[in-house]
Amino acid sequence: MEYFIIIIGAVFVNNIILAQFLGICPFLGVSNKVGTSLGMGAAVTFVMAIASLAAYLLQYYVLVPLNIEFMQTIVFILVIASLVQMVEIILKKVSPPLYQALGVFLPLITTNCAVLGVAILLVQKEYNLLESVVFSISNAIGFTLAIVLFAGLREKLELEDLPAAMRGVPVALVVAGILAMAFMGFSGLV
Amino acid sequence: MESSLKNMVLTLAAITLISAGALSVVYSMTEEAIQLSKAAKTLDALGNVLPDFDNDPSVDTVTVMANNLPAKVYTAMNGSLPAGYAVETVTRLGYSGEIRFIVGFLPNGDIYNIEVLEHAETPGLGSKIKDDDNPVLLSFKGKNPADLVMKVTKDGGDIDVITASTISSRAYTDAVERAYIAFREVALGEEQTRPEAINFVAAVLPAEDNGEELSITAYNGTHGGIFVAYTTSGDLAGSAVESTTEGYGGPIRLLVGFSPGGTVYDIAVIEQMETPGFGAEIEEHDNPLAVSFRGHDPGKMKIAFRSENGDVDGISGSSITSQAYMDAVANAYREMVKFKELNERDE
Amino acid sequence: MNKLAIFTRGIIKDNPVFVLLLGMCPTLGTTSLAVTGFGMGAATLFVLVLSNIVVSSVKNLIPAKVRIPAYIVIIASLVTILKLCMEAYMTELYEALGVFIPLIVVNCIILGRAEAFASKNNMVDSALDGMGIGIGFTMALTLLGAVREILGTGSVFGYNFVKGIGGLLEKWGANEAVVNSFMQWDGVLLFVLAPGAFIALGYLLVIFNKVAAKSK
Repeated sequence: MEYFIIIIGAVFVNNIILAQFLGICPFLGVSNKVGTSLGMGAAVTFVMAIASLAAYLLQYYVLVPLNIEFMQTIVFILVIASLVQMVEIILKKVSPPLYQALGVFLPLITTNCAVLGVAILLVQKEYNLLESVVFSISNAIGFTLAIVLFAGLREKLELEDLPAAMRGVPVALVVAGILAMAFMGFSGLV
Repeated sequence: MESSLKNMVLTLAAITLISAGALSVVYSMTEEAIQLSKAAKTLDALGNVLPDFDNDPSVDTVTVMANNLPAKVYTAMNGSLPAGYAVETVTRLGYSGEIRFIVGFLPNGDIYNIEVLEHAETPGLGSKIKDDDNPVLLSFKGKNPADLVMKVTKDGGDIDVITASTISSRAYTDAVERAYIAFREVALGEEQTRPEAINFVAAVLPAEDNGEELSITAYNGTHGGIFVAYTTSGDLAGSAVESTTEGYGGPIRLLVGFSPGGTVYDIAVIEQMETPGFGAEIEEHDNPLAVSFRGHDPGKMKIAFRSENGDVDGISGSSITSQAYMDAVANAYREMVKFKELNERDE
Repeated sequence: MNKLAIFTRGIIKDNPVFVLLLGMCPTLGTTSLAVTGFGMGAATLFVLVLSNIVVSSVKNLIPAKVRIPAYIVIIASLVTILKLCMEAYMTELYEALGVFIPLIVVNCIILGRAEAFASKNNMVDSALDGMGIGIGFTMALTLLGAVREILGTGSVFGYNFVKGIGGLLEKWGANEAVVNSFMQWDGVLLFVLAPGAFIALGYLLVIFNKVAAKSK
């Protein structure tokens, strides 16, 4: 039951993009086509799951025992950055097709605040190992859901005749606002 | 600078070292201020929910369980008389996430004031629980929960609701009810219905595994009950000793079962409030602490963590909980030995 | 480029939010009130100026291939210092900004300025550049926060502007119905909530684009 609440909460109620405003850059930048946004979503899911696992282990088996929790930010960002590099190298060697699909997105993820944000949040919420993994994957699914939905809307928007000042990011933001309103309908579910 | 491997490694190492050094300096400089500002925040909240007091209530607090969630009770004194009690507690019934409250009671149980410490309710709707004149707070202020039906009016109770925020209002009521239970237990000394140690005796002695019925005699010890159990055939089945120590989240109440020879047969956790996923691991039957003690005579063990050359494995990442657990078992053992010696002298 | 141009460029012409569209997460996430928006902007300004100074002063000591990780460590340390100081001396603001304080590390503006400007220029210019961009960012966040606060609650920086106007009108003897419509206006809640962030920023960008197009 608790896991179910975490999943629903992270995917719908507190959607990482539309309610928590993490990962806005890829949300606005890589959401022109449904196909690319699916790829981005998959890459984020992959990295976020591994990064959260690493963050959890580091926090409770290194930072807390050594009493240096204040080094959290610096340790997490370094680990995420090196993890992304490692994932890129391993994927290239082990699964070239997967690398072709996700490779271009990986460098973008290092500075994606969603990954670091989720790592910090799972410590803040005092989740245990399994809850942390569930939480990070649910957030990644929420990210994918929002970005794919948004890409679908933007594909349609391309064809609309809009005033010049409205084109591009401004109208995208307004549409994102409407999408966020729709997601507000989920609040109170948990 | 040239990008040779040596240069790159050296530069990164140097930068990391300098950063770590600078950070630990800043950390040690701000550590005290961070503690102080946290303490000031609590004291501020206490001042708002209690009448004048002249002690520091945050020095001596008691944490009890009420309706399955912890509640921390602060006692405020004015001179030698209690000025009131503040209960810090939480509810999970909110519209979005936990809501933390601090509820101030006068010594007679009247609610003096209530403050919301933390919430994530919808701004403009549920967030009105934070307002000084919201109807829920007004229904409580100056009243004694004993005279109130602790439900919102919609559910047939005495508590008014905030328009369009029934869920938040119910959560508010739930938290005050929890605070009142904790207040009664600490201030008025009323016992909640708590788990009885005697119900755990069979579980920590070999009888249950052998399918035997036990006859149990209970005695009062310094740390709780001492239970001596005999099998139906009249043989001594063992003894079980209750022991309570202060853990990370609140008291840890253990029942330690000893075989007649004095070795630990098994240990049961009667009550604990440790962090889920960390200290709460002591609830697991095969946690490293229980495994270290089970089948051993604590008198022949070195009661210290393996890392300090002792014989006990702690739960990693939960040293306070582990220490408390270890102390509780050691106390229980001493109690058992003392009890045995007394009885042998009598015979 | 002269010093004044370096300083002023980031404020309007290359405004990080309205023109470069960078640092969107804190821009949307911390602007439900003008004061939190301002606080977030000031915190970012602090890290940005210091990171520019530090990076420009050590730029010749860092091998090119490891410069990005080195910059990340420098920025992360500065953010941690800021975080500790805010936790100690500005607890309320620290709690209001929450996770967005440690997330300054991944704000692309900061790494972007370190890489694009501070690693190639001297310390004074880098500090000016950081200050200009930082002030531009702070102004954008404060503006967005003020717009959302006034539309959402009628207040700016906690002062109820709309009721204030109502009071003035009453003093001047305006029609009672007009006065009441000011006094009883509670704001459009939507603008304080998440969707309001997107919508308010979207329309601010439209206005910014319009003005920019006109002035050309």
